[in-house]
Amino acid sequence: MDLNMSKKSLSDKITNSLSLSATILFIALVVLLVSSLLWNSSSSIQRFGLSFFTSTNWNVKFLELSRVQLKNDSFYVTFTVALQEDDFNALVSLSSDGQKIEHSSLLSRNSLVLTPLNPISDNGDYTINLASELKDESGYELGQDITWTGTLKNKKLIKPKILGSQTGLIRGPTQNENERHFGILPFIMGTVLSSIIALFIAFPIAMAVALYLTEFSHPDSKFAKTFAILIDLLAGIPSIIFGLWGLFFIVPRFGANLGTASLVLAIMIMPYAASLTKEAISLVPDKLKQAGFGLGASRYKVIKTIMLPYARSGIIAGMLLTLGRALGETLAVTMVIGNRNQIPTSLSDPAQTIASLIANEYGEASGLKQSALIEAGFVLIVITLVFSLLGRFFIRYMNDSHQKNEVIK
Amino acid sequence: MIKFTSAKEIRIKEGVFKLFIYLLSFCALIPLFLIIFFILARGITYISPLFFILDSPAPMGDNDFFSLTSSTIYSAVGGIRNSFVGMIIIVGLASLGAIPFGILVAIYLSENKTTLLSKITLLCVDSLQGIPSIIFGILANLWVVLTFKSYSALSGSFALMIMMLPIIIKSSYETLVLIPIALKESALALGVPYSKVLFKIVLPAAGGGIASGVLLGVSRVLGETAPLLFTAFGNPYFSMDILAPMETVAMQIYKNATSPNANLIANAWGSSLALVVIILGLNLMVKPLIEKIKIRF
Repeated sequence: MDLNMSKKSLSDKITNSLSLSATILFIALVVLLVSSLLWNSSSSIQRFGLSFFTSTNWNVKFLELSRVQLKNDSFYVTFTVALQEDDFNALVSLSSDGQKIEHSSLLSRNSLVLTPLNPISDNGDYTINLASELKDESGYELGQDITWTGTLKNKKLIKPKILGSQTGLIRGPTQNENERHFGILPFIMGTVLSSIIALFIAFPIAMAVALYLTEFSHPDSKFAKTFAILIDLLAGIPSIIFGLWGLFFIVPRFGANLGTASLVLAIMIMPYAASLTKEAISLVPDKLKQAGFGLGASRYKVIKTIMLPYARSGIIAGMLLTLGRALGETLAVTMVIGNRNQIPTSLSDPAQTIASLIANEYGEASGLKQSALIEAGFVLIVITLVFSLLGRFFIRYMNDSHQKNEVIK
Repeated sequence: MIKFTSAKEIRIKEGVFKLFIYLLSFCALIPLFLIIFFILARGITYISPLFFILDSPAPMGDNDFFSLTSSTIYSAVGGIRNSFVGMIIIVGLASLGAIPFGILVAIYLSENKTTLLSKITLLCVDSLQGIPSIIFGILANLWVVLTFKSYSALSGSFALMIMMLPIIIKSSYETLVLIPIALKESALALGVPYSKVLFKIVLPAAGGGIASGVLLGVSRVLGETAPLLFTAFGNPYFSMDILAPMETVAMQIYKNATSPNANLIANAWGSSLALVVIILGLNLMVKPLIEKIKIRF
């Protein structure tokens, strides 16, 4: 209904334009939020692409040529990272004055030893070519062909030069610890696993609390009221307190690992899950329940065959929303999960979630690492939003069907 | 093919089910009691009037700490003056920004329910509510900290403001929608200008609901630490400069609890007791007040 029929005065106009501009500003804020995150993570997106999601290596040095030495008639080509053991022979070539030299190569830790089959002459120009397909032990490639040139004078190496053939620039190894390879598969696994396990622990309890409050107690009884207040109290405790309690109460008993984090998370999300489930269950029309009781069904039967199927979409929505909240929990999890960069294989393995990774490392990060952390944050947003928007969609669906049923009656 | 169940079987099933529900519900309360007991048992010894006028302490060796007498232990444990004042400033600034902003957006939404803009806004509110709080920390770091080239309380307030916005918009919108249209119509029929109807009739009528939404938002961000880690950054000294790093109670708990010093950990226990009391007290004291000003239709 349009109530703006009266002639608008100045103050009306001001009010209208203020609220309109606030709304537009709000939408702009959200759009800017997303675009700013994307913009700031662009360098990481470009550098790593899909390997960001599939790689288990976080903070691994780039494969780079760090130096070339001449010792005992052999060239020692040292890399920043150890090489993969397969066929590096085909990818490395040694030449002198433009002519290829046969050589035998040997891998020792992270350096290649190239020994020419004929002894090295005292003077001459030597060139070592490294193909871009050369792989390090984690499977990352060199990325671009590298040419090293050096001149020998009386068996002493002078004027060594490293040339990246694509850019023609001298490439030294990066000492900057923010310029590394980043992949977040372990953190995605840690985030999703800890939340899902927490949900599995919390949901039966939340369901029982909701059923107790709606079905098994009189709403006016003092005990039920106190119980509801206590559950609200649990919901009101800030997450840092749960973290502190977990750190000093659970960690000394069970250690800092995935299971502990899930337990703490479960305690934190239980009240939220309980209130959502309660809402869904209380929407079941009394008539349906009474019809069930009238047919002589026991309470267990009524709950199982009438109430839960009716409230199903609401309960699923509650699960999704709760999961969305669990995924984003940061510091309580950081304090008890152990913070190790690995894919957890059991409940007693330390792990790391995306949120705790950001909390731990964002403060000191810059450059590529900062960009990678922002991309990780963006991934976290996407994971959370999928669950919470799906949950809200279910709730809307549930309310609509509820209203339809009301109309039919 | 009718399958009959004996009454005894039904009764047993019913009893087991009931017991199961009661037991699980009881399980839900165990962690609450454990947490409250733990915080009380460890924190209460350090809580004294001094705890609110001393700053966060300097780190101290364990041997020194355990040889302290009961009279000097208070100064070794320190207090929460710096972080308490910091919390009030940071959360106050955040609410100063978020409350008018959120209410204006809610007014727009409730007055224009069917426009595309309001549908998009509602979607934005829902999405913003689902975003983990640490993301707002990154955002405030990128937008405010990098602009001012320093960690500041202001950037922390900005992060908390964005966190509070969807909560305030949502609850205000839900209250404003429930206000009977007859109320507005009768005022407009008397010739009252539209803006006056809004500010003198609609908003006061919705006051209780809006206030409880604000309370919800404030108590949500009071215990928030993640978005402040790389925005307000934390500061063990007393500071009122909003362009400089500042601490909140929750941050002080996080920092001190993860430190290896016994006196800092003791401070964390005391602070967490204080924080729980503050938040629960806020809820217990303000909620009845809000119920009183709430107008029911």
